[in-house]
Amino acid sequence: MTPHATAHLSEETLDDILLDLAAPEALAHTAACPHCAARLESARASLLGSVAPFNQATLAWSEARSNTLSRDLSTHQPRPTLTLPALASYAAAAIVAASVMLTAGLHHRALTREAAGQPTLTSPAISAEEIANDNAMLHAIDSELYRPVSISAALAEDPQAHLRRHAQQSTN
Amino acid sequence: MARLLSAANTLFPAPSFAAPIEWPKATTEARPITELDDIDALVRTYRPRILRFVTFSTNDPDLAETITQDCLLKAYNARHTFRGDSNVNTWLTSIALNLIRDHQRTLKFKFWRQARATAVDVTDVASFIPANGSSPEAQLIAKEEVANLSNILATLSPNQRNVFLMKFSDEMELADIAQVMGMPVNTVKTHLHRALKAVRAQLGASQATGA
Repeated sequence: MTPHATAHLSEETLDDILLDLAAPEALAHTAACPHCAARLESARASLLGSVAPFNQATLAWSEARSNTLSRDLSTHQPRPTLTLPALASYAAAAIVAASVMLTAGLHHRALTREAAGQPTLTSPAISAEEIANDNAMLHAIDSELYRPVSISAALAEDPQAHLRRHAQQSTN
Repeated sequence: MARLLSAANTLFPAPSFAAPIEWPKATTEARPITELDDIDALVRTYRPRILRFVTFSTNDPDLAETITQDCLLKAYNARHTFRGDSNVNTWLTSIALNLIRDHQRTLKFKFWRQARATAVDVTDVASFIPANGSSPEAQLIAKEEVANLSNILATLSPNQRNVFLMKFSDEMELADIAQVMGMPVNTVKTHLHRALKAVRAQLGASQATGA
């Protein structure tokens, strides 16, 4: 069986050849198989057709740019680099500072409101009239509960009317 | 408040700005004078290549200039530790890549977004194509290829881009690439395969559309 009658090279094997990583068998196959040799040549031309001018242009560009830089490295100030533990320290310190400031701010606001005499949020201001009305209603309820009436009369009568009547009697 | 801050400083001391580069152990043997001892030669010979690598790895020409100068300064100051088990270019590229990674680690902790001042101007780079007696049409095609490949490299992952640059631009051996990347050879092969596959696919697509 001739080499070119066997399966052709895969794309991955062609990449191996382009990367100089191919096994000797693959190289031997391309030497004996015109189809794979043509594929390899096409792939190589496409790749090198871009890589070669890229290398030329970028090196020339880099040399031009390098010539604008100072050759005296002793005057160069290295960039500071932060290590991971250092960044963790910064983050922890920031969290502590934020917590302290938040607590202090809340405490200051509470002291300020207390000094201004602002009412607390626990109970709203209640007028004397409202208190008297509440007491009258409670008295009426109490009287109704212990008033000796017949059961049929109690069931037939509107309980709301009873409360209203007794409330009116208490206030008059 | 002042006491609280002072307590915070005690609990969390100010960070050090030491560069996290692990240098090889210094050798006690007398080291012959090498090209590393001549800082002018070092700069003249290696700075363009290192600058190119860092520029197209980071896609930031201004940052690349700073990192390149850092790299050469560190290498010169630590030249007594260079044992010669790799070539100078590999050693310098390894230092440069460590500096790039340090910069990228710092960027991850920035909660705010800064607009990058400059990116690589591919048109400007492509204009440096040498004439070499070629026709204007050939030069125009070459400039388009340069711009096209620059844009394709920017789409690769950092590892893929770095190994591609080291393989095809710096023409480094696989073992040297693995040493610079700090990865096993098989891992480098994987990154190279993926990079080449992506580059070939996008080159093929652009050539098919005539872009």
